[in-house]
Amino acid sequence: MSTTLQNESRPAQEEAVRFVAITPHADAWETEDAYFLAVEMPGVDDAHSDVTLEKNILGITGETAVSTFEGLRPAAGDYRPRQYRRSFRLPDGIDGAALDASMKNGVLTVRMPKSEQALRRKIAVRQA
Amino acid sequence: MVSHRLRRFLEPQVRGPWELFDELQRDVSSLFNAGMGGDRVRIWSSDDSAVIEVDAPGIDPDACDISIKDALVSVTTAAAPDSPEAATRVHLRERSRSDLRQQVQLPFPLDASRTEAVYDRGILRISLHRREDSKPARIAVKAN
Repeated sequence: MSTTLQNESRPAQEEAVRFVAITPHADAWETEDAYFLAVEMPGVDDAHSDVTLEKNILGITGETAVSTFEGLRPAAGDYRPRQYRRSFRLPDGIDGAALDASMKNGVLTVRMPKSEQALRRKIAVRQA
Repeated sequence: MVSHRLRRFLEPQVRGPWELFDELQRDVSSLFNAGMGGDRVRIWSSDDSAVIEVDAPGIDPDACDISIKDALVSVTTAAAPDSPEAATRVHLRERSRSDLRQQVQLPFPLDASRTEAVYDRGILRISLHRREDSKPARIAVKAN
């Protein structure tokens, strides 16, 4: 018997209530020209993560599959599929059309470039 | 909820324009999440094999350390990388900065040579097998 054979299935829409809701940990920082957000969502791939921007609220969701292993039964821990969900109120001066999100090793990273207007304003302050 | 607010108070550098909406949502969410799932470690098993999953998002899998002694599995995962040096300001800093050590005691001794570990989507998945010499022997009953 192999324990490396893994089967993943996802609950149907009507079974969404079975997801465990989790508020994921996150880091946020800024550089000279952009804001960055890194959100921990282990088990989530890019096809099952979602990033939305409505006004200045950035919404992030991600869902995991159900892990099952041939011949094995759950023994400890909460093995239900998880739904990560969190929202952030963004500062002014972000170019909402240029957001870029990528998922790697269970961490969703969102790059949010500062708007031209914000950068110009910053340069003007430096020259004063 | 209290510890979250205390931590925010003790780390004023993380305060920023993100916090108001986010903090409110965390407080509300924590009411519903308290004690609900989200375990970092999950175990599946049978009489002679097991799988352990450990949540370890954003780590370097080469820096993971897995050791086995009899029925005890010890897993150490290195901390997630810090914010890049180019950061001019940190707004939130919630991800763990310390190495995490997990220990799992299984009900049977393990064959370390047959252990496999895979890192996939931020989850460390360890496949384990019972040591052959620990499996119960079957005794045939002879009828006279």
